[in-house]
Amino acid sequence: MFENVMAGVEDALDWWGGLCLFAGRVVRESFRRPFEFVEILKQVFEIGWRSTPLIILSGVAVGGVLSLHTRASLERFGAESMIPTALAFALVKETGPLVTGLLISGRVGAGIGAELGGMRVTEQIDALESLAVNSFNYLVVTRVFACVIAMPLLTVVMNFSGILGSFFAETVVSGTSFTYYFNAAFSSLGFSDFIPPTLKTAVFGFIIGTTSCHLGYNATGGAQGVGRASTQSVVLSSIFLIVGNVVLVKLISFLYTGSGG
Amino acid sequence: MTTNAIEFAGVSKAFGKRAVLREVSFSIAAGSAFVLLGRSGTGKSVTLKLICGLLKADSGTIQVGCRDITKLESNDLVETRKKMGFLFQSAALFDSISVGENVAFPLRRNTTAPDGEIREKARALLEKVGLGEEYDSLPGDLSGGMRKRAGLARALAVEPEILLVDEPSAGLDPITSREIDELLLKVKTDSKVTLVVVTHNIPSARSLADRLAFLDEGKLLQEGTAEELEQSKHQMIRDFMKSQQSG
Repeated sequence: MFENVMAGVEDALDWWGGLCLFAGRVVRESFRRPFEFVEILKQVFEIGWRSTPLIILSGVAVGGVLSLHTRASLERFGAESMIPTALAFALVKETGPLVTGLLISGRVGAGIGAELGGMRVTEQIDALESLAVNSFNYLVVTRVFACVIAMPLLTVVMNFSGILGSFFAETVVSGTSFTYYFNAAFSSLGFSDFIPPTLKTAVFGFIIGTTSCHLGYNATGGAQGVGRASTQSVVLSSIFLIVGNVVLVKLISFLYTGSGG
Repeated sequence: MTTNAIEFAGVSKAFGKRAVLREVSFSIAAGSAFVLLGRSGTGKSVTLKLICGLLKADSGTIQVGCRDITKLESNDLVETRKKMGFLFQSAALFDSISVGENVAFPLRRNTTAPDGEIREKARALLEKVGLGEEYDSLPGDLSGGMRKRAGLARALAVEPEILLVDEPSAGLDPITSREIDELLLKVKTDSKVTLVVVTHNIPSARSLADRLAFLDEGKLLQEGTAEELEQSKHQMIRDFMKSQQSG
């Protein structure tokens, strides 16, 4: 029994150690030639541009639903006029970044885990190496970079779509005009409300990219191993992202208000 | 005096507690064809991957040209690999790009030739292996034999000094298998490439090899010509050579 527990602890430490070394290697290799600019652009297109429809649709839906819930709450206090501002704050500061992160860890995390896992078990990664290509640089660094670049951009799209969705919901109920709604939404938002939460999603991108690349790049065990890498990529990057978000929110609060709370 | 293209000296490799190679030593003359024989799981493919630096030896030295590949850092390893071609057992074509782009890939990465020239060379290589019409096909649309031929075209793209071939006839019918052998023979006679082939197919080994080596349980049991292996003092080698005489 004790031996089993110790073996489990050893495996867990081994896995965590592997992930940390992998993340360290990503950072180290980022500064090493050759810089794969073309491949990074290709991945930004795959990860970023191809995720845009999902982000817009989800943004509009989340914004619409948030608006309906907020109206129901604020109506009780006669504070309906606060809806655009409250929603803009909620979306820009937390909901937008977190929902974008979770959606991307689902779509992109699974994709990267399956793609690299498939390449590993079919010897395509070995083939790359045999063709004198640094496979880590070519496959991993480019994908992590693309995630880091794409996440803030997608978050901006999500925020804007969310506000648009909330406007649609609001205008159906109260007939609010577009100009009024957007003026009210953005008038009280400052750069300090917008920049840190948006930039923190670059860290989300690093978490998603690194976790899913680690699982895919080191996949073993044939088709089953590829499936496992894909599923674990989504589950683990989502968990790391949610936990990482707590730390980042605390850090941003500390840096911007000096209070940490 | 013949120079050696590859030299193994006391090479051992284990995966966890399982020893795959134990103190293996042999040398391969430049421009010759060397065939590794042995039962499944005796370390033949591992030997190829060690030559290419895809795996690190636990001990011993592997001299490729004038460099010990076990001591090379990643950048030097990349330079050494530019002189090698590797045909994998599964061909390992990149399934997201076309067959032609697979062949063009090493040229795009390792040369500064213009795009038109690269495409032309890739097309010529595909024609050489009988796949001239398949430039735009995806690897998934090809049969096993066609994939092997495309893999061979890719391995030959950078005009390697050393060509490593893992199980060229695995999973192929006898006719396709013979076609692949003929292609390899043509490569051998047309260029000065050093050929290292892992195979179970004795007729294929006979037609290609200048020298053969037999691995068993991670040890090099015997090295020599086909005739020498046929008259080996080891029953297993004699049986192996006899059992597949026809194919």
